[in-house]
Amino acid sequence: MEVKTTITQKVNLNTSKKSYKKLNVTPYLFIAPHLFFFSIFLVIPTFYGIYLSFHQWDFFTEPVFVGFQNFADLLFNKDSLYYADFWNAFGNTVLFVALSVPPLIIIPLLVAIAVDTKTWGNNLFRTIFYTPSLFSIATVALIWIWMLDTNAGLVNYYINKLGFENIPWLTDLPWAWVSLVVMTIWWTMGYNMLLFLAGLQDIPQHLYEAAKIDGANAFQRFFHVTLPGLKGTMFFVVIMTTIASFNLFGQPYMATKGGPGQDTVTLLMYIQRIGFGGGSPDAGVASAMAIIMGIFLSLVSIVQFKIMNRKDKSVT
Amino acid sequence: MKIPKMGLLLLLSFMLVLAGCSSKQTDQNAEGSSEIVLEFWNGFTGPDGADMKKIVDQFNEENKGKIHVKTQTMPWANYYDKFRTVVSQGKAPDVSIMHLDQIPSYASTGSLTELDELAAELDLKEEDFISQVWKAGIWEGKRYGIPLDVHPIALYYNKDLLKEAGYDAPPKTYEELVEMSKALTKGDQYGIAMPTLWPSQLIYFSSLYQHGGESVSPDGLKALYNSSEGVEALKKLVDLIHKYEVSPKNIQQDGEVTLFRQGKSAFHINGIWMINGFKEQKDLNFGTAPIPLFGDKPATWAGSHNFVLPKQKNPDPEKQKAAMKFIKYVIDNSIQWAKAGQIPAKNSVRESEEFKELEHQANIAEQVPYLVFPPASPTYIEVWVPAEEGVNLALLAKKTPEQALKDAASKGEKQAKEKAKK
Repeated sequence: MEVKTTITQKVNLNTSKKSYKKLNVTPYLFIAPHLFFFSIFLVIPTFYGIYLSFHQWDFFTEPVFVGFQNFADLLFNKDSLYYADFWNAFGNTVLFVALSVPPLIIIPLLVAIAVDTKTWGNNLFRTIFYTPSLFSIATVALIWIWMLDTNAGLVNYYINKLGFENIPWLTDLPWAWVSLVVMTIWWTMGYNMLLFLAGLQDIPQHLYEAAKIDGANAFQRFFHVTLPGLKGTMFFVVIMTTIASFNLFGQPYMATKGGPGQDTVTLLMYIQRIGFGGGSPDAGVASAMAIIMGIFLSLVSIVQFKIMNRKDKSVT
Repeated sequence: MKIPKMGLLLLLSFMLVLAGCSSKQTDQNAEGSSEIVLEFWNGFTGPDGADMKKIVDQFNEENKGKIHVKTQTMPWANYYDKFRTVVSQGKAPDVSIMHLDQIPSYASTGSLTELDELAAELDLKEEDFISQVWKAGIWEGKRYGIPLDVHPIALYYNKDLLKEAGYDAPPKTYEELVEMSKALTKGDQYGIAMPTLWPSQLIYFSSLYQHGGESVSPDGLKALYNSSEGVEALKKLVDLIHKYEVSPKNIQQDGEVTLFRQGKSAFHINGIWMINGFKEQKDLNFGTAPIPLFGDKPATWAGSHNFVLPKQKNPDPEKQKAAMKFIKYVIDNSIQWAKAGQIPAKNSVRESEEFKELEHQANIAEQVPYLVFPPASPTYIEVWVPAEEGVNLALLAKKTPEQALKDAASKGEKQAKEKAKK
């Protein structure tokens, strides 16, 4: 005999009778404090910066509208005050990005793999590699300035013992770039390492076992299991590291002072110099430079995005 | 009930934020109806700030109920950034300190009050001060600054190292400097450590004027440092590193200070402000003297802290008088300031017995008759700063002194022309 049972349940689909007329405000309450600061410290300054970039302003007098003059002076006008220095800073920044981003991906990745092997001491090493990224830029710069001092520094002390002459780590090329890159890697690799570690945890173990059974050696496992498995993390790390490297400011500002001459002046340093330093600041030109930098960074990120996404589609 | 709750919550968070941002507007007459409160800004974030504070506290004691001075100290870079914005908003301090070479630039944008009458009222006149620095506070015929001190560069020398090599007095001329340095350069010890960044530009400035050269034309538009005298002046510095090799190469920022502190360099040229730091250095037995003569006639770079009255939207004559009274007090009592490592600009303080007892300051003050200040012009900095980069490149042997100064001159003049247009 069939027993028919029906269960009727009143399902409360929404919070109250009135709610379909009014918004559910609880989510907005949660984000309100952050939204408040976000608007004041990010959104409004961005629009103000765009506004200023079409003016010239020395902080004392009223901003003077100049249309696209600032952009023309920076990008095309060879005779302007700013052209040579802007492109110098731009070139230096791009050079630094090219020099620092590859090591900042490869080294943390290798270290993450090493730590992930979970042998003795892996927690200790993870801490050792991560701790530098907790320091402030001033601390980092001071540590390296002391170590790299041409005459009194620790590094040259040992170099002398090996029989070589003092290397001008912070005052001459190409050593200044070497110092800046090494300093930056030491400082920020911990962050990338942690991201890669997290990504490595997400790769299922059985993929490695399957690869081992198929006779893959360590290298093959790396290229065919690990790297594809890290697609998402790699994507994030590459874009964030590129953006961070473009924003290089503290290390050359403190350690090389942009020297020798202007050879390690980066975009942000030049923007700060024009916007705030020296006898005649011009907030309009500085804003225009910041806008140009922002647009260029967005373009670079879009290109990276497209490349990495395209590769993703080809992996089945 | 949701809208009022949300409104209340947003209002609450808004109020909390506002409470956190303290308003900078001082309530001028809140404390007692007759006491004048003055806002005093300076950049003395180092140990010298404590000495200035002592003087200010003394003033407040003696003027209790009548005038009260509130001090705000911040790093110089922040100070100048803020200065620009607060004057245009009408929130400027009542009295502040400014470096002498910045005065023309700020005076030209109308940010400073003219002080001729106010100074005359308090009987502040040229005879009472070092005349060069008194005169340098004038721009376009009007006075904007009252000098507090002068801070020149000086020659520091390691007495122990000199004695070891058989010398009992520091060098007076370039030739003596080279000779003594050669004797003192051995192993990892050097005669002198020639900086390639700061303060090399001050040493170069002095050498330039010692050779009879000049930095910038009085109208602030033409570079004069790329003359043959200028090139020779720079060459003398470069030779110490590359020709006579009595100085190590490629010294980075502050590397020369480290070497002197470690006792690895016998001579060190730097500002008077280094005195207290060196005094604290263990095992450093140092002496001070006027800088040697790189050229033919004595000349030494000096900076100067001046008192200025920023322009207010609604100037209050009572406050201005109070501010001037404060200024005069600090200047008259600047012996305390001298102890911080400065040379008082007021003659009577500098000639007092108390000052003569400050050994190092008194030694360095011997240079007072021939201190050189940059010409007063709003575009001076535009023309001069590229020379600093040129000096750096020449000392690093990346350009010859002639090429370095020539390139700097063309860049500097271009910058000045652009600024003058605005």
